[in-house]
Amino acid sequence: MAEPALEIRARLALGGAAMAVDLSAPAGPVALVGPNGAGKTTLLRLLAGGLRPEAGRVVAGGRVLVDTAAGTALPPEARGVGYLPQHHELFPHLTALDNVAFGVPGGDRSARRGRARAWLERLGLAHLADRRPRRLSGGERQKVALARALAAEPRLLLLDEPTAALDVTARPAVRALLAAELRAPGRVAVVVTHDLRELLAWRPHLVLVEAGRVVAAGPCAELARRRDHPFLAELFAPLGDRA
Amino acid sequence: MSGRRLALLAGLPLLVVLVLPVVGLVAGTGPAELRAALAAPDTRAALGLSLRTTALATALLVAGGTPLAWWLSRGRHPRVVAAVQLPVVLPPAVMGVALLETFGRHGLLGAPLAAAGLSLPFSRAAVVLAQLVVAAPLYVLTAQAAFRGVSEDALLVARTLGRGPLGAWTAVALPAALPGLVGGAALAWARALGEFGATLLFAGNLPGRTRTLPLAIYAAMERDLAEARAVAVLLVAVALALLVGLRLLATREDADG
Repeated sequence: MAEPALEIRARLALGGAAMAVDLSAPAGPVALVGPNGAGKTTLLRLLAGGLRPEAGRVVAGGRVLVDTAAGTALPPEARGVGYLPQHHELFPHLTALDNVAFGVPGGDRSARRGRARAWLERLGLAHLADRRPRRLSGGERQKVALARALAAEPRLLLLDEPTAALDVTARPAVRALLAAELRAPGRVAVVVTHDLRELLAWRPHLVLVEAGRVVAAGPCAELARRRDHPFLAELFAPLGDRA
Repeated sequence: MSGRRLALLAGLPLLVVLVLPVVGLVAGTGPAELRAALAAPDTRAALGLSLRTTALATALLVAGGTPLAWWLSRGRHPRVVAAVQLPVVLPPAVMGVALLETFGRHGLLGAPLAAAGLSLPFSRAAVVLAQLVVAAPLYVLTAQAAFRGVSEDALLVARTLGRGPLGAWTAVALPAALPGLVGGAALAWARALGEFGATLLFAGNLPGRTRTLPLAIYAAMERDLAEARAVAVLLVAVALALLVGLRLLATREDADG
């Protein structure tokens, strides 16, 4: 295997619960799956820089983000991250457009807003540009937050259930858009999803997390055939014998 | 009858008891009385003193209370919260005695203050300090609740999008909590404006020096009920103007978009 694009070897203490993660993934999108409370969101926060491991090393795209042995930890603002959290976390005092423009790199204000508007258009949200989050539906909020993460042109894209709030008819377009974005050159993308269509479309490196540990990992197509693990068996059950 | 109506009906007597005295006060005061009170130098001095001291107390409270409220909002600190709540449960008179026992000549900090050439009791600084202490819980606890609405993930998103710790706070946490902060400041200001007991005991009732509007009412009661009534109406007007003004400010910020 070539040099891994993502490497996490870390021990985390989370107020009683402990996590010990050993994860290595090749280039291409990485999908985290696993039961609620397994630690998927915690892993995204670790990558974003929202929490530090007790001990360990995190490398993404050839850059060392954290190395406790060397005493180094890049702050979140130096990681080039686009993060879509589970609860969207749009900034309530800003319009949809200004939320997206918040992280657009470089240029003056009007250039940044222009690029933000282009992202809203790509997600079919141009008509909502001047709305505050309070006046958006759950699905609209999720798309605006996704646009905000993508507009940052991140080297490290972190998406926590990016289509969970979208209705089924809105998902295919976002799924197709993300299929390209997850494989953007020079980008490491980690996405939490349990949507079978997304897994089949994105063909990610699949990582199963349970109780704070990586219990299975490999190409999606490979793990889809495994019937020995209850979580994977249930996740891929709709495929029947096609997998 | 619907449940909502029943609730209103059950709460109506309380609402009446709250509103009726203010109506009685305003109805019983004629414009002539009010003009006379406003023309009196004593009342003007008290009004000016009240506005200046409460503005300063509120500004100091916002300056110190905002970081404290933010810190409180980021974790569980029940003992510190209890300490902040103390002025709510203690009678203002007790706060007045406590301030005297702390900052008075024979108080806890009396000697060092005297050595520095400072004497707080019965000064304007004492008026401000008394107002600050009794109004503090209203601002700090309201601000804490407003800051609780700012999630760690929202701050993390702002950080990942290029802001440092302070930048993320000023760009995201502060504006998101602003309506709550303004509301808390309005409540605290109104409470400071009405502060009486602690001021009387710690700062005294010296005309032109420490006699704020509430103390002016108290002093006028001894001479002339009509004058006291007029000053009271004046105080109601100032407090209402403050509450309505700041509320408008907060909702205008909130309404568009």
